[in-house]
Amino acid sequence: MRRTLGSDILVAGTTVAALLVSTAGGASAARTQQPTRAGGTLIYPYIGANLWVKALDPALLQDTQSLQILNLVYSGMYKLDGQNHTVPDLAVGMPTISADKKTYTIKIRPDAKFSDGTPVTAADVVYSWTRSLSKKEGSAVALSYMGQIKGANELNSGKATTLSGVKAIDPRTVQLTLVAPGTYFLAELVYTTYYVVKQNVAAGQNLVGAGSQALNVGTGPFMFSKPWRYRQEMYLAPNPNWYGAKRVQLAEIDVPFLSDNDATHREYLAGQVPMSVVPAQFLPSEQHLPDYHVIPQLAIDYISPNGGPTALCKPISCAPINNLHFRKAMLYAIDRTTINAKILHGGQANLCGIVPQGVDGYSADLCKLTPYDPARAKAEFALAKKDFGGTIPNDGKLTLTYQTSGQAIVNEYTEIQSEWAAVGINVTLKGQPFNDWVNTVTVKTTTLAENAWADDYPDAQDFTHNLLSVSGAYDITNFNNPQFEKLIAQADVTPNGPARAALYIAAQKIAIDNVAFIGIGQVNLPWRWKTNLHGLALSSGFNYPIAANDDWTQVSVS
Amino acid sequence: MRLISFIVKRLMSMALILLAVSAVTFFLVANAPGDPIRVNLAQHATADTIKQLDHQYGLDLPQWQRYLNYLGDLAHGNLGLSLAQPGTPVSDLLGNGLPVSLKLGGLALLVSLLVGIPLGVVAAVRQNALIADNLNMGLMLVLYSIPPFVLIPFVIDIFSIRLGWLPAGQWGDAGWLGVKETVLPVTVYAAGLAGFFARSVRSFMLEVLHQDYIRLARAKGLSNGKVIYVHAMKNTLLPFASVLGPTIAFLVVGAFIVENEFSINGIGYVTVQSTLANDYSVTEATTLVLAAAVVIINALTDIFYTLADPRVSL
Repeated sequence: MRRTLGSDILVAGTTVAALLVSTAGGASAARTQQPTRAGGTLIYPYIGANLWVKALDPALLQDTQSLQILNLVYSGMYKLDGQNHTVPDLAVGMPTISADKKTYTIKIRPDAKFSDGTPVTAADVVYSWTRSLSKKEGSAVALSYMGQIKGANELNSGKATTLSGVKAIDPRTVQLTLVAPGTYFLAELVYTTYYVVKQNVAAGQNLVGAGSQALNVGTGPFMFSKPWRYRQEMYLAPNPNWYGAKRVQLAEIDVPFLSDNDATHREYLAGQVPMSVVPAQFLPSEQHLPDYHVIPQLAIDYISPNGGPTALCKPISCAPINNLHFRKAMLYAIDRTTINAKILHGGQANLCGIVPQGVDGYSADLCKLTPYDPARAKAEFALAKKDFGGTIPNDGKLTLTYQTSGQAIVNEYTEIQSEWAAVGINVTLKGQPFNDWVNTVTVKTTTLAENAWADDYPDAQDFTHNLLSVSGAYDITNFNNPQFEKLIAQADVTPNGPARAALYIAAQKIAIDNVAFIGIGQVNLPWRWKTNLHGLALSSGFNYPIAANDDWTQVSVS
Repeated sequence: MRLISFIVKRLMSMALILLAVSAVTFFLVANAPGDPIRVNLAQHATADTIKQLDHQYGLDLPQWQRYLNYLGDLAHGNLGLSLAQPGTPVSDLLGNGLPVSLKLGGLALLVSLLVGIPLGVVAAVRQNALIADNLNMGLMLVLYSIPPFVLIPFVIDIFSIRLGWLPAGQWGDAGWLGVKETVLPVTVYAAGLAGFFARSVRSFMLEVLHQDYIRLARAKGLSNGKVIYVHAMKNTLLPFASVLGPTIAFLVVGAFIVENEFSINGIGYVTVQSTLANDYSVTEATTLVLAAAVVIINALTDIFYTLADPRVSL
């Protein structure tokens, strides 16, 4: 017996010793530098499946997560304030817009500089925008945000080498011309494809690879400081040449890369990182804690019924979905409050219109048009039955396709299925992995599907025109209503303000009356962060905490 | 001479195996549901944009042509660019991930050998003893049976969240923090292997202990320690070496889970994420590297086995 125990102890001791000896010399840099500013060091975890930022090249950014780093290092003429309004960043004031609403003149701040101290000129802006759209850069998104600029298509396709719609008037003034007016262009102007890069950064140059750190010279409030630990951690220090540098309190921002929400949450509970997103399964137990924060994101969950001509639906016809009474029965049968508050434990806020809370054009009053009313749903269902001569076509064959990204969404759509069944609507659920689902919701032949949309830019046009218009790039409902089209066309060119918002609200009323979509929820973003972090806030346009009002001078760690 | 001929034959068969692996991986990945461009952009791209990007990345070519292009690039040492992380060379991801996985896997192997072999010997020497054999082997069986994805939440909950002793993730920090970051992933990774090694060693050792020459050694009055650690151990480790080769495959599978759960940027993690994102070029490269590792280790095991035991011919 004694020998056995001795062997065990020996083995355990040897194991631990081996672990310690073999690991002690293997590490490189660390987040140990002492801060020199009073605001301390912010540990700012980046949650991403690749354990590294996907894009640091402003022209290539496709994902929201990369913005977490990119927005610290780079900036553009305009940015969003905390309420998703476009405000000046490197520009002096808002652009001067010509009478025909096609020409924008932008003045650059006199103190706008890159982190290496060189001033930002109009030529830098023209170069950066041209680079974003160039064929050699190969950006998948540049045309989406810059396609309205005159000459953008020609440059992007390689037929031209310059961007004819943009020119430097003088060293501090840029002028751009659009092919057609559109108020939402102001919201597009904040996108990263409009950010400024140094002219020595060629199109197609890799800014995110292991040896690319030195190429990242931007105009943002921070800059890269200590060498990256590639695919492990980045370190940033205040940019001394940023226009607000003197007021920055933080001494350093360290960005460890974590694989997913669950891993980050575990590290938060273990005290390794000072902030974490709250995974859905922890919402019931953590949403009342003092360090809990939540905001509805500009991401919506809705159902797309295909109201188009029969030939458009596959594998079955569009009937009975193309019957208005049937769609109304579907609409009134849904209990959003139960779904969002109980089934999803507050993971979503109720969505009634297509424009989410946080964007001008949102109206809580639209919920009056989409009440949970089983009696009314049954009455509409009876009218639909009557329209079809007493028998609902394709009864029992209707399938709602949804993405199986987690148990929460399975529960959500199972609830919807049972709510519909309660009024007589029989629908089979078909879960698809994301890869398949994304194909389902990008064709106009899908009969009925769970749909989702996160904003391209925080403007009502992105939700109304793009998702529901006959000319919308991402419409799969085949909704075609002249009055709706007229209203959004007018709204798209009306200056920002209450009149424009009213036009979008009126358009949504028409869409709801016709049940062009069935709103379910607006995704809530729940985070926790330690109470010693100051000046942070959640913003509906970002899926991680940022400086309140995007003002990094107010952020500190006590 | 015979050894050289063996090595040449092995190299040739390795090339054929890797060619087959490249073909199978390529066509499996290419035919998996989802287009990598569409998956990355989700709904936020028009059909025209998708078409243009497919063309840009050569995804609109026939599959056989893409495969030949891929082989041509491979022959020139060009692994291509990641589709999910635009502009990032696949070689960057491999160059960064391989050392991490080698360190993690190497440490796990070391720890599992240091734990598994002695416990296996103890169990064999004290066969049927309650603690030294039955309990010991029962525990080893449990460790061997529990998949890492079940074990990881438990150890993190206890050692990271409740006790706060060890980090729940991250890798490669300097100093004491770096050491602490290593403990949980290596321990979880090593646990299953240690169980497997202990049970294998026990079985091999028991067979040896019943041999005539062991009885003879005892009859000649040799001490128990000398009989076990000098005579029996040598002949136990020889067959044990033959199970080490296949263990590498076990290590690879373990890397997929352990690296993912602990946010470790090794090649296992890269493989899983690239597969989920339909990042063809990365998946193909990592699979080839992992396959090469298994084939090479198996060949080395065969060579070692032959050198260590003259009775075995090549």
